[in-house]
Amino acid sequence: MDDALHAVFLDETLPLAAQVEHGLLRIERDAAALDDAWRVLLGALHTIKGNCGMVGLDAAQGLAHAMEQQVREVRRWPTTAQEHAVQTMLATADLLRRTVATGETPAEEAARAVEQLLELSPTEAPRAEVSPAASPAGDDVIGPVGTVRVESSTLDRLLESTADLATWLDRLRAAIDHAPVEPLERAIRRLAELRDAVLGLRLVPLSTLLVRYERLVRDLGRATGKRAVMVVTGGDIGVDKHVIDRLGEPLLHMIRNAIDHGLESPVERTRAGKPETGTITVAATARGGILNLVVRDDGRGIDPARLAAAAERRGIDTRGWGAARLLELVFASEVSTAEVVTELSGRGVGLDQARRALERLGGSVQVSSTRGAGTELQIRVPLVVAVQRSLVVSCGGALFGIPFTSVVEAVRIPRDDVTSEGAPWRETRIPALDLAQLLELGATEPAARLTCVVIDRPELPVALVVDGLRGHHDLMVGDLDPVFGQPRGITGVAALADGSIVAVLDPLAVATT
Amino acid sequence: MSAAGYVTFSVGGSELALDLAPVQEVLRVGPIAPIPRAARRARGLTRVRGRLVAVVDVAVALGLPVPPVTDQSRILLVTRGARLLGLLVDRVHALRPSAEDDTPELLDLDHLLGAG
Repeated sequence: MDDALHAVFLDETLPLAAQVEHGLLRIERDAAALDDAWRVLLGALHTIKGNCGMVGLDAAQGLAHAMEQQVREVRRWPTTAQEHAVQTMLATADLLRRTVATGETPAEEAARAVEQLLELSPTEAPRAEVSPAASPAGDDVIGPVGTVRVESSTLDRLLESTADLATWLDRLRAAIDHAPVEPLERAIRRLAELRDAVLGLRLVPLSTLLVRYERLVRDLGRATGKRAVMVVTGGDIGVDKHVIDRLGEPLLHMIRNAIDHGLESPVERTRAGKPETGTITVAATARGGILNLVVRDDGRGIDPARLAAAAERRGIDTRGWGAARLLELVFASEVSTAEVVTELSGRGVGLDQARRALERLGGSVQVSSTRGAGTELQIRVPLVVAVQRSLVVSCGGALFGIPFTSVVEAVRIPRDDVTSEGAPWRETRIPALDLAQLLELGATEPAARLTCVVIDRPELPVALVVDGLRGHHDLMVGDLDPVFGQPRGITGVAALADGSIVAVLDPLAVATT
Repeated sequence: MSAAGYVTFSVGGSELALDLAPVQEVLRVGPIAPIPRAARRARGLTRVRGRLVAVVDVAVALGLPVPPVTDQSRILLVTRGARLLGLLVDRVHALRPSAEDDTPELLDLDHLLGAG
């Protein structure tokens, strides 16, 4: 098959295959959602059949055809018979997706699957448990949605060029002595529009990521002897592909953890007066350029008292810690603490890495939990990672960007008022930390008044002392090359319009090291 | 052995050669912004036509003495998959079409930059 044709085929067909899975899961979960779900399912199967036929994937075409036929039948069957049929079809959907993705046709496997489909009957009792999917769901790449296929690296280059062009226009403006020239001003405005449009091209519906987990939740639940479903809201929110790509791993850890350690067994749940099937909710909302994601389970919750007891056994003094601070231990990266947490609730594994991954995105995650009722992780990440509205500060001869999402305000405080007790701020005192010292930069400029950036924190804000403020900027943040190691607290880099380089900080990570 | 040839250079008092294939160009050294808390071999970031490029201090990476940057110093711009990196060296000597007996030791980019 010719490469371009194949690319189009994949773009069109893979999302449809995901839709088939999604539709089957919907039917399995909720018999009332039927009509609409069946219609979508049939539509997707029909198109897959046609697409596979066009590119000569005969076995896949046969599979899709058999499924389509059976779906029409099954729709009229009693619920109990439907349940079994849906199981079989999920296995077939898996095979179909693999066949489409790889272009390889395991003929025998396909024939067997068709046979199994045709054997389905409305009266026959389910004979044996259908073997679980051969490949774990969630690994496959779900192709981008849409009809024009563009490499995302091409979009990045386009974005870089626009940024560069903006720099040159600014220089041009400076070179002609700041007298406003209408055509130039127009060009600058149009360029800003262009940049927004290019950024918009990179937005992908969040659901392209979340559909992968729907299957995972079901399969993982079964593997651990639990019953679990996933409920998603806000899947239609458009998110930068960069963010989507980097959200995958951390979300996977969180969802796994919720099922492995959050949810109880069906017996336990019944005893606690809960429905047998546990629910993992992923709720997304977007506001002001920020994607808020809540990952919630309705499981047993985390007991802070037990966390404290275990931490103390390992020599961590937790006296005076509030529940919120104790819960933070689930993100602890020190091995000993992670072990404590793992032993108790299993929450330690992976969550520290998940938090770091989110921090690198310029995001954050917080945990809350109610004993007996469940655990909730609140994730905040920028919708578009490339542009981060930031306060740029100078310190020790270098420039740093502090994301707006974490800045409360910037204030000047007389040097003499800042003591080891911290800095006075809004009728209270908050800790004051010298950014130059934290980052081991050169000496700061002596001044009678200290410039402090007040950083939002769950408990008490903290003031970062810097040399000066350089204003607000929309930073186009790029990743730091791996050669830098992973400097804690540095989430990315960007260039200002004048070409100077800014290291973007996660101020909390900087302050807590 | 590469068909493209080699570039020879000195760094930290040693003579070395690098396969030309990944080398995009040889640049004069512009401003380099250091990144706090970074690995020592990562000298900082420099701007190459609007793009931010990580500069690797080859002398530090190889554990050689680190001389100051002079106007003889150069940055070898190399690609590594999707990565674009600058290698800071003391002086670039020559391009050689092929390895000869007196070609200095080859610089191992895998070792220097990590795989990928």
